[in-house]
Amino acid sequence: MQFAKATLAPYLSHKLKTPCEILEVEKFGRGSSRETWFITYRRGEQPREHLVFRRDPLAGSVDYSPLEQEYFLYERLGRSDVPVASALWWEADPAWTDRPFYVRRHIAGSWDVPHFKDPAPEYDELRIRISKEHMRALARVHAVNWKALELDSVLCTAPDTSSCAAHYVDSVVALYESQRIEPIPLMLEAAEWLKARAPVASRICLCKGTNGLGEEIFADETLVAMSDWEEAHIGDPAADFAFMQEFAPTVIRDGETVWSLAHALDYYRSVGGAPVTEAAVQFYQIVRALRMLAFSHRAGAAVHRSAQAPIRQAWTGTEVCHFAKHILAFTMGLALPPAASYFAELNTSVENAS
Amino acid sequence: MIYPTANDVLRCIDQTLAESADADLPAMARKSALASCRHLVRHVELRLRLERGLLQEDAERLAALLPGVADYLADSGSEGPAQATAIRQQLSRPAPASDDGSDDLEPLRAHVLALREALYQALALLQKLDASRRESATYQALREGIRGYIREELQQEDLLIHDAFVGQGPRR
Repeated sequence: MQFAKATLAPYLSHKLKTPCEILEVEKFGRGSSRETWFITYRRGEQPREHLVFRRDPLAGSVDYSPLEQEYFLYERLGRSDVPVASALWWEADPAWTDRPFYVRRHIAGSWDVPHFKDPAPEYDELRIRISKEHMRALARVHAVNWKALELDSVLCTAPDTSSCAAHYVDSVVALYESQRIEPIPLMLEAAEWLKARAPVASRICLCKGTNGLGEEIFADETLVAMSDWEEAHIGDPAADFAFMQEFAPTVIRDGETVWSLAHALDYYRSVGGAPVTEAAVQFYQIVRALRMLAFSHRAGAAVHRSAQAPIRQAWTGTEVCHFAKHILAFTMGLALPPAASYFAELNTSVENAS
Repeated sequence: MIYPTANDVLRCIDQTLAESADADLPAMARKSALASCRHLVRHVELRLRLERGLLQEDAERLAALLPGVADYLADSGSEGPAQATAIRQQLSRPAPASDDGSDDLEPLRAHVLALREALYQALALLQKLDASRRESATYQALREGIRGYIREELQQEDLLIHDAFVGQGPRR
């Protein structure tokens, strides 16, 4: 099914059982794991309404978690106090589409927080407020009763606090193995290295996976919806601090560090979060590199298998894959460190390039 | 890095260029896609220039490393002897001719993949051996040899990546 006015009008009219006029169809430019479409429509003379359609790219998603899992998570988390967009329905009817998708309510807001990345000191307080807002949201995520919501029926779930980290590492290797088209001995070497250094988790909880600027929706300074649950799992809360994308910024005032990851962790703990050490966070940062190697290899495999693969996957399957190997090799003492500026360079897009 | 191949990447670039001609594509999406294409064109150029030599070197390193791995596994009990036999069979297969004048890298690629798969399976088995074996100097030397291979493979791969991407502007 093409997401276009001509095809969406009869579809939504059928689904909502009332004539619908499609006013706007926009494909979201950010994100490469899945397609996100913003649909604006009107029922008769009613005010404009907004929906979000999500589906996998034609060549498949970069990420390993299936679209059905994402829909399930949104539906179940809608029953908790975690801010998420309401999941509305799943569509796989071949009469309408050859590629399944799901629909969720659109939440007004933006992934961008104006001035958050402005280095001027006058925005330091804004950065700290946003960091605290995110810490409060993470504490809510980590307090979710995942057993009651049956999240363990679809998510990788750690058996206990002591084997939690090793279990997660094994799960990443298993994901890689499930789509492996090229043997990467570094994957096994790094997994073994990590398991030999695995920390004990303070508790087992729902972890979101990817966090920080670009992953959540804000209205002014309020986090109104948490997005991007593709890497969600049930494990060590420390894992959620390993990929913060600037939401645990270091703020120095008059030579004194007034905010940092340590401050953020203390604040998170004060609002009901679990005990999390910086050492455990560092461990999970290396696990993230292992996961980056797994999903970038999958992206490369998609490019090999399909002429329809998006160009972003070709980049992910080449440079990002190499970067993940480099990080892991450096961690194990097998390579020099990447240049300090390299990670920022990798994250620069034509949209945010100065 | 064997996959995606240079041809895979070229096919992806071609598809992207065709899609970029769509007048309805938002300007930022087109700009982003074309930025990625430029990096990947440079990457393909490096692949065309360097990949055959790098694959040959990779095959030579694996051919030097694997006999020692097979010897060790042959004496390690459990699945080791079967694994050793598989490695030796793989090593006995002739490498594709290096000067056949063909542009087709597929036979060489398949040869390296098979050798590297043998190493991968051997490493998985070595990691499962019990602690007493793992503490021996022979075992440690073998593992150090594998780590050396990993280090060199990464350095090789960097030749196909660094100049194509680093310092060349936004990737997407």
